[in-house]
Amino acid sequence: MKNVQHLLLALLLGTGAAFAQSGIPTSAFAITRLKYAGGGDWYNDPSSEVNLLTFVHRVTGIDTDPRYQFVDIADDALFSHPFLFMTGHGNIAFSESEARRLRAYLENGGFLYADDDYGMNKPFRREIKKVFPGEDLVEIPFSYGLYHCQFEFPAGLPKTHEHDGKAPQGFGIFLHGRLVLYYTYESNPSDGWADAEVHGDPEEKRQEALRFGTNLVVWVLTH
Amino acid sequence: MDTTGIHTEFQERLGAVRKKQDIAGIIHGAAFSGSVFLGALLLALIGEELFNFGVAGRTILFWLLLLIAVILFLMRIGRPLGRLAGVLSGKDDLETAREVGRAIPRVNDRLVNALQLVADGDTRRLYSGDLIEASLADLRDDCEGIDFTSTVDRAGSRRMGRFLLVCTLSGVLVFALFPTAFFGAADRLLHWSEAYALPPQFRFVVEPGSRELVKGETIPVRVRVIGETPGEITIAYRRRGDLYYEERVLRADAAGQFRHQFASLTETTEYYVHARGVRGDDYTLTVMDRPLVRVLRVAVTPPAYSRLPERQQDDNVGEVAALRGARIRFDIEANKVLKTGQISLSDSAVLPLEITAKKAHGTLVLMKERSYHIDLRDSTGTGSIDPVEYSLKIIPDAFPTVTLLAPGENLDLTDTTPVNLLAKIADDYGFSSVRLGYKLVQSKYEEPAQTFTYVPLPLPPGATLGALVAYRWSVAGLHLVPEDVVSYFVEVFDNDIISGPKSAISEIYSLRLPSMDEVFAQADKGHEASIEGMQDALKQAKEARREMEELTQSLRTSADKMEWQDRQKAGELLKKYDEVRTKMDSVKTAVDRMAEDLSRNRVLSKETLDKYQELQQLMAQMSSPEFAEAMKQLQQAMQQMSPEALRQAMQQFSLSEETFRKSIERTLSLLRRIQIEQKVDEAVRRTEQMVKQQDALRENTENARAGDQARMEQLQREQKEVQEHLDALKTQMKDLQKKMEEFPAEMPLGELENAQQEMSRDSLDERMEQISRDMEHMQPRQASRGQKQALSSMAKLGDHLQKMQQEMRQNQQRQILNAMRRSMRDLLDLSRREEALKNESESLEPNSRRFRDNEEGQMDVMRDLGMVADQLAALSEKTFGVTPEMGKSIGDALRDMNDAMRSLAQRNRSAASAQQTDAMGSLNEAAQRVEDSMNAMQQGGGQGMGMAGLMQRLQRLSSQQGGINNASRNLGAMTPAQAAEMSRLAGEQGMVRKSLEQLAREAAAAGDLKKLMGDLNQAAREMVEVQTDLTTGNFNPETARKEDRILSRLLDAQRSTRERDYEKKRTSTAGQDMLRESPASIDLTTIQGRSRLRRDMQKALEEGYAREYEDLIKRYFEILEQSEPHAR
Repeated sequence: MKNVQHLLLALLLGTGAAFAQSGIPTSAFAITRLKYAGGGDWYNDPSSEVNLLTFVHRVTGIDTDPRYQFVDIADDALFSHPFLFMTGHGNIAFSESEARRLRAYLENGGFLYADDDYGMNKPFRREIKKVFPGEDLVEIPFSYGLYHCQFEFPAGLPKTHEHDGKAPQGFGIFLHGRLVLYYTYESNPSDGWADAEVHGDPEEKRQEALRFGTNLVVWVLTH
Repeated sequence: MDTTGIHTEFQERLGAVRKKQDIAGIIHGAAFSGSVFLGALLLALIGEELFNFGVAGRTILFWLLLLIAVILFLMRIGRPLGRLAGVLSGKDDLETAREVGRAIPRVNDRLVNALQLVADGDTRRLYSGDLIEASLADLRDDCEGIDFTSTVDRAGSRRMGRFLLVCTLSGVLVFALFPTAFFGAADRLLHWSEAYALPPQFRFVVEPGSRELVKGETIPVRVRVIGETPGEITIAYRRRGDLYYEERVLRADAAGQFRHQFASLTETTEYYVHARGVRGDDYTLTVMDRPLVRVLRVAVTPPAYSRLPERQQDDNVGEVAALRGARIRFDIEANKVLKTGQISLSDSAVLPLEITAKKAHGTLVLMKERSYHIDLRDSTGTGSIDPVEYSLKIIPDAFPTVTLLAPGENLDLTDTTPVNLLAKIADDYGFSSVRLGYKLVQSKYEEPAQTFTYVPLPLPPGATLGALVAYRWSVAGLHLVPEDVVSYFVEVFDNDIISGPKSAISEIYSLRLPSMDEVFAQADKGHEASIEGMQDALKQAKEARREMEELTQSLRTSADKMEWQDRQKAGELLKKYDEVRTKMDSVKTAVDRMAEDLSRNRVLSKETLDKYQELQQLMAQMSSPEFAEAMKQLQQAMQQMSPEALRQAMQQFSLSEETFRKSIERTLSLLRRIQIEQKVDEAVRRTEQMVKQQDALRENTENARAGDQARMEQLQREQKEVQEHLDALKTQMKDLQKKMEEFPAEMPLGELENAQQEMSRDSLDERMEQISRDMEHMQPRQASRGQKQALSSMAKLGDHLQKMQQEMRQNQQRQILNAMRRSMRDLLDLSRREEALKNESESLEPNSRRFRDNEEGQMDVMRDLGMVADQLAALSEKTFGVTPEMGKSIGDALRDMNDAMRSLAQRNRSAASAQQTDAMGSLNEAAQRVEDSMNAMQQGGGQGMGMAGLMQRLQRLSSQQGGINNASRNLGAMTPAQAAEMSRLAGEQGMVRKSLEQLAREAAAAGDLKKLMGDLNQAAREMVEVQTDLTTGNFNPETARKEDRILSRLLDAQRSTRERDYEKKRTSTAGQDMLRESPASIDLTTIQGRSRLRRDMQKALEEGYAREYEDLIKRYFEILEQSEPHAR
């Protein structure tokens, strides 16, 4: 009994094992959180996808599965998830095999949306270079269809959350003309998707972020 | 003059009389002849018309007329004409002289006599020549001045002329009245030799006969019959160009007239009437078109302010809807040449159109709603009929809108930091200006302003229909004092220059500068609510824990099948934990908000703020994904209906739950301690503020003029405010005392008591009362003296409080360091014991009885390690310095020891020994982590490493590195002095490296800062290389680059630390829309081409060629990329 107590104590101080079981894919459209190594809080704002998918269903009628689910790059189920979402504040580290696997995923129809929740920019750019050494993140112009396919965003990305007072920027990587990776910097729409009380964003900002997220989903589903 | 001359003269004068008489005769004869001939002709025509003579009759008649004419000419014109021409002989001089003499009494016979005297030779002989000459001369003299021609009578000629005129007019009249008949008769008479048929028994008189009419007009035709009226007549008509006539029989009406009506004639029509073989004349009704609009083109030019382009409406669309002030141009094409045209408006206004042949145009400015139609007239003056009525509608220019997005709420100012305003403006056509309006509406010291003050805001360039207006409002200029309230709004004006700019204002918000009391009160409230929330959550968690244990017990006794009650209980349990989690999330949000407010208001010390940040971090980690996953698994197990699965899930959940619950307890405990620190900060801050206020008041009192009652009253009010602050401080200190008493061992209660005594000893209350009284009695000097003494007491109080604050921190640090030191010593002691056990295990024989002893010894070590872990767990409630990494090392050690015990029980010497070695290693690691944490605390001056400590040390290192970089670049030629300097720099670089390595170790120990390690370690490696270069005197450009990289890494590390540090502040700030240019468009073909090349290059490089080949491959692809920028 005492041993068990000690073990509990050790867990109290931070030795809890990580549980990473992916969700079960269904026929409805789902967004899957990408679990990555490196120390960044990949699990940040778990209500984001749930709220976005609920919103998408409401405004477009697309059948969605509004659940929070995540997948590890090494997980066999990775290729069953058409839309990956990654966010966080800190470091990201892809091993060589993870980078290769992620590249294979993206080259074969997958899509990754990365949202810098502040502090992710540098490690993300570094790690994505491992995934696509030959590709550059190109800034996407406001005229691109993603910003217009469902709701109009004539000035490009919305500025959902304040970071360093810079203008929001949306970058992408294209393979064979298809946008396979979309990265938002200094914008942080996923904060706007989270429950209202999490960040206390004005409702107007949240709605704007959700509308933008809808565009992203619609674009990915139709291209 | 002689006789002959006079005679000749008389002859000439008489000749003139005869000539005049002949002319008069010709005129008279002509008039007479004409009259007679006309009469005869008229009679002949009447006869012909009436009797229709045959050829013979007409021949006689014709020749008779001709004979009459000849006779008349010869008789009445030819004779005088012959006399005038001298062909016929006329009167002689004597006869003429007689006529003259008869006409002129004065002449009488004298002229005849004289002529006879001259002419008659016999007489001449009877009278002397002189007498004849004298007689003639006398006559001549008498006739001097008499015009003999005046004796010619012309009255007859005039009468006859008048008669001829009457005859002529009569003839004309007759012809005019009966043209057909008389002209017919004349025609027949002129052609007397030709035979003519007999005229019909009747003829037709048709009205209107031929005429022109407007298309669509209805024409009535009336036919009268002259002569024997037939019972019916036929009217025949056809369109011009048709071959055949249509006919219609007409019957006479009561008046004996025949009527027909051509209704709405649209084409020119020819017609005639006939009856019984008698055909009337042909007539033509010529149809003329009315002018009408064939094409109407309307172009609308909106007013310039709208920036809308000119709009050309579709052809023949005359309805216009446009903005007020729009110019409307009408271009009209008519069906025929026009003379005039106009646009007639419903309010009686008229716009004349300019005409060019068939075209007309005009321009109208739309200022009010009306209707209009187009009136046209052709060259004949015929106007258009039934024109289409069109409407002119005004599209209203909507009011602009403005929304204040930021702050977008009533705001409490933290200080005089500018307020960032962001207004979203919109209008249908654009803006002319935006402005900010504000006024002071509430103040303790000033009268509220009556009117708003306006500040023009800059319109963003290119703002058209919508824009975001950002403005950094410097509220410092408002000179606000605490509790002042300012109302403000943003007003936008549109660009309607036609009707005048319309404006709209945003919601009116207020800015308020809260007092320090309010800030602290709010924070207190937040604290109490957070603590209460956490206590509730903890209570609920404990209750849920008890239920979980009961459920676990129940499951143990369950058979293979799970009871539904168990399942229900498990469900309720999950629900409860979910509630706890939600409650903790809301507490976390409240703490975040509170920390944000306190940070923004700058009322806390840096140390306390650091602790808040660490607390926030701790709370963020509480709701870990592991706990969520355990809950999820428990839920899945419930659905499997297997007690075993549920038991396992419950066990797993139990572990996570314990962690979660302990985290709540730890957080609660830390929050209570932080609250005390915050209250100490508050006391210090209040005292400082009070001192400042009192000092200012003292100065004002000294400067106040004696006898200035109003001023003294004002100062007295301010003094009372200071007194109120003192009262508040006293209350707050009592509250602080209560809270400190909860942790008597850690808190400097003695120093607090000293501070309270200081206040009592100096009787600050009474002193302030006295100052107020002095002011009331208008004694500023005494009041000022009192204020100085009060100020001194307050300063002492401040010193005591600061001392208390310092002591509290030192006490806490000392106690924590002692406890950690104890734990470290214990860990090292345990490590030694573990080592002894390991050595013993290695030497054990397989059948040795000492296995049992060793196992017992291992159990003792485990028990003691548990105690150390308990100590650290207790300590973790006081400090952030106890990190999860320490727990992990201890956990690893416990697991290894547990495994070793199992191996010892199985007499597995080698396994036990290896596990004990691992346990020893983990113990050493734990001890190292505790030491690192202690070092960090000592260097950082606080508890735990903390962001601030790390920042300071990084800054210091960056500064040192910057110095080394500069100094090394300034080294010139390698003189002995330079060599010595380089050696010194190498030494310094070594020291910086050691410090950095230490820092990296500590960052690693602090767990969350691990991510910095990579950068710092890399910097440390390069520092070694730089140090080597400096030591060997080999400072080269590569060394300089390395130095730059090192400095860059250090600065980056600071920035990333700072980003993390401020993260929590950031999360409560919504983004503000920013306008920027779109990035350049992307050419996917180029991107793809380049990407393909790069992918190919990457693949080639991955083949593992030698370095020189790789360089060649790179070069090859670079050239390819440059030469084929659009390669596909």
